[in-house]
Amino acid sequence: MSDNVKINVNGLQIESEPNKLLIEACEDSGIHIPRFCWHKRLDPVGMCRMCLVEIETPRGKMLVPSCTTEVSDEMVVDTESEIVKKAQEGVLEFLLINHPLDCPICDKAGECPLQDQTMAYGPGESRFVEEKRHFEKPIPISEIILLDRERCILCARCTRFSDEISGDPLIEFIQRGNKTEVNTFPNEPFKSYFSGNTVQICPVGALTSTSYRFKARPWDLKSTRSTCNGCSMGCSVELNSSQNKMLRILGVDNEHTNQGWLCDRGRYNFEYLNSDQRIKAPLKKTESDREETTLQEVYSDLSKIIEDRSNKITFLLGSNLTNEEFTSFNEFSNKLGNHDNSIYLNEDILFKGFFDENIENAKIEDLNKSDAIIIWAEDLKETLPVLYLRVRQAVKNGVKLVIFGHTNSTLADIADVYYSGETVSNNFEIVKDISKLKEIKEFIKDKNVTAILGKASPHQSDQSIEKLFTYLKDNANLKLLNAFNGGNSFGAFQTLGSVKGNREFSSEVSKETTDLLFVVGADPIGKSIFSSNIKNIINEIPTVVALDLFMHETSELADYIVPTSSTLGEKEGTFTNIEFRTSRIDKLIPSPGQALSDWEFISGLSNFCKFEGMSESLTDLNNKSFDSFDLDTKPTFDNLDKPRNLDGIINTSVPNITTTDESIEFSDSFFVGKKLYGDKVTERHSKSISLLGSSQFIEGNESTFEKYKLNSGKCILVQENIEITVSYKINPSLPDGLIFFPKNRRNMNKLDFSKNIQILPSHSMEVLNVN
Amino acid sequence: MSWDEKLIKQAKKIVKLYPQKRSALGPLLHLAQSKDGYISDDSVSVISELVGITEVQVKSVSTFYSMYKQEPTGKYLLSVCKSISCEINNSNSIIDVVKDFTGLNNNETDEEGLFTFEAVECIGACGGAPAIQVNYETVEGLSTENTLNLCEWLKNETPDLVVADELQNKFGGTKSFDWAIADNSGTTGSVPGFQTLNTTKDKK
Repeated sequence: MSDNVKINVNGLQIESEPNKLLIEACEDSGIHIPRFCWHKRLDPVGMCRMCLVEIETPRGKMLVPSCTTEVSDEMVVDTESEIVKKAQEGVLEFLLINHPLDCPICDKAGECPLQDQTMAYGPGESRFVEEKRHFEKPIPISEIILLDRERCILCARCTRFSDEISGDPLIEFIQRGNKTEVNTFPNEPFKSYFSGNTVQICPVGALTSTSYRFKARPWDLKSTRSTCNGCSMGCSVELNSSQNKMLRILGVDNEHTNQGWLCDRGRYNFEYLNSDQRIKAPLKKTESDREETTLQEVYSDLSKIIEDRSNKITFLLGSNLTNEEFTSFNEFSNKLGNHDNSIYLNEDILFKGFFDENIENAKIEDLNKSDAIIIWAEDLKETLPVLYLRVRQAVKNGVKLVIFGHTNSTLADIADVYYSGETVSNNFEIVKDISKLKEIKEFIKDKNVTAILGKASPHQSDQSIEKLFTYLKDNANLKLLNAFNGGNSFGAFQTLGSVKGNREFSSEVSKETTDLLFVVGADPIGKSIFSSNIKNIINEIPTVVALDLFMHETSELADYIVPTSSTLGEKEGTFTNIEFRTSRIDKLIPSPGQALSDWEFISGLSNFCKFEGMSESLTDLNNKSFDSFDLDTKPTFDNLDKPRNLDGIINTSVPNITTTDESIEFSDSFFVGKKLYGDKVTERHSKSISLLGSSQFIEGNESTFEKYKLNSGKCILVQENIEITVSYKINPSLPDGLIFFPKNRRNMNKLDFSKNIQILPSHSMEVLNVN
Repeated sequence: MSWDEKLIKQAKKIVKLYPQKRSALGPLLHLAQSKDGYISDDSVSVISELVGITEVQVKSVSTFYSMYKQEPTGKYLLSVCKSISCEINNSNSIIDVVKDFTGLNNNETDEEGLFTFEAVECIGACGGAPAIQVNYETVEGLSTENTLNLCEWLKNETPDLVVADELQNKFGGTKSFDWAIADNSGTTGSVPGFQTLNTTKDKK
């Protein structure tokens, strides 16, 4: 690039883009300047003064903070002069005045920037003999975060993160000068979906998380890089374990996806791996109970069913499997002669999406480069939290944001246009003529638009969303992200050949069409809106095999239960995210008991059945997964392990989703969706977050609840002989008459959303009597 | 909301003065202080809603500035100047007298809620140093004796209203110039020290 500027650092000539911060320009050229407050992804503040360097100015040499100084042409910089060293020693001496020397019991010790930089740049001894300041140690600022104010060096990384990035500034500096401390407002805890990031970026041990506190010393940790499979964002993570126990998950700065951030569910939903409730041996149902059995026996029993060619075999797969495992099931299913798509994915919202050679699939980084972003999908903050952060970032950079109701109300306050009740009806149809919506036209006409489209609720009709899509396609230079949010669902779309969802499962599968059902890593009875239907089907089918980590509402009904490894840290494979970026899933810890990967089970079973021509190793499956892709660099293990491909490899192979077009009968007085924290079996067994998804509630606006005459804070949902007491929350951005049900909260699966649900006021005394 | 309608109306008027809502934060905190004599957590919640930022952000600003009181003050807020002009004119002994009389340390309020003592930075009365403010009403040219008299008088008479001129006549010495704050209702007055609305009109 010709307009780069040349600067001289420590006698070395380096080049940098103009207007870059000096500290960043130096970093890029391999010259490290010590710092505490500066973070690549946050706005600079110049608070800690650790990054002071000397530059030559017309008035002579001057000390400036390199994190707030932009490079200019022919700048002469010295980062190692005597004066700089003296400044660094001084800054550290000051920082250490009040920093307690409790490193032996501090979680950060060993990976602590303050420790490391004191070692490298510190004065060696302190002249201060005064008493250090004291605070209560530590105070909980939320259910999962603890704050030790004595250790805090006031770099403002956490407060800036929560203000600039996550947009929920619930922690701030209180007081000033010597008394300054970080704290929350009384009775207003740091209830953020992204609070774990502040722990990760804290340069000292001031912020710690309950799940990792006192669990390990950093130098004992084993670590590996992997991909989070909690949603389809595919954030890059670093897994940490000690003594074969998973202890911590850190975000890795992947420019293309998460840029270092993670949501708290992705970060803390791992404790279940160490749970003693994990299934450790294969189980077989007996007349009255279940008994432990061997894998050989399971294989032998199943092979008898499989060998009878008249038996029909169906698969219901969870979307958290690896690409290789999907390939393995696909291969197995083909071997069985099941050409009529007998594989279903445990997803409620599955429609054919917008995949086509003529539709340009957007990359996540396109959000930043486009003129406008259009969103109509399930709530991004709840279902794709890190994508929500990327949208926020884009808007901060000046990209226009248009949102169609009623789900993404958390983005409403930064949106340029939010189409709610008057434009979008309660059953998610655009009731006005889109071409006459003045505001949207202004933002998209002949401009670069990135749309995030998906069904906002399972009952939204395909036509309603297609209408918006067609309008955007015709009027703008459109790139598109399909907002399917379930784990590795994009991997499933590509590797399974054809995919159907829970809706199709509940309408197509019965004992007539299925003699043997494999339910793999899925709990549709616990979590699907088709729960009761699926329960009946599973009860009917003669033989059901569940491959799972835990006993739950679905696996309990199975005749055989095979313990499997978790995709998080217990198996190898690949994961494909929302922009079709395939990255590595790696293994760090052993699986408990006899648990094995799903592909190992299938491979063992096919060996037992003497099937020929099946892939025999993970590498085979990996190669086979991407065989048909027209790519120079296929995302095989060999390629993904190369340093330049650590962030993943993009492919755009068009997937095939074969859903039926029938729309679901739904009352238009409610819609269902997911909350980030729920009642999933893995969440229940992760101690530190287990309570975050435990409350049961419905949401609606004030006048809606007034109509139901609710006033006690609680209400009763009644359907046939089911009664559930829940609280109700006011959400003013919902239109009149529309009520939201979080389907991943406890007991919500008991409701049948295709039928009417009565909402009755609850009088607290009566509730007490019932209990 | 725990603010009455009149106050909310006044607050909304202040918010409207600024192109960005959060710029109204400072004046609104003064308004909150004029209501209770300090910034209550309740007021913080009201303000956070009015300007559209979180409560802790409001708290952060209100705790940064020491003149936003975080706790209720006594009936009389005694602010003795400790800045340079007063200090070379013996403000240290004035401070000692007040401390001894009230038995209070800096920023403390006595149990009866009568006195709050604080040593403050320059109150702009350098011409008449050493100076003290009682409920932001300035008295200049103090001596240690008169300071004691002032304290005793406040304790015995407990006047509901303290007025600068009256105090100056009774206890003051050399006066630098006329002080005229339109409002002398003390820490619960509309705005201590300055006003945000119609300043010139009210002062005539």
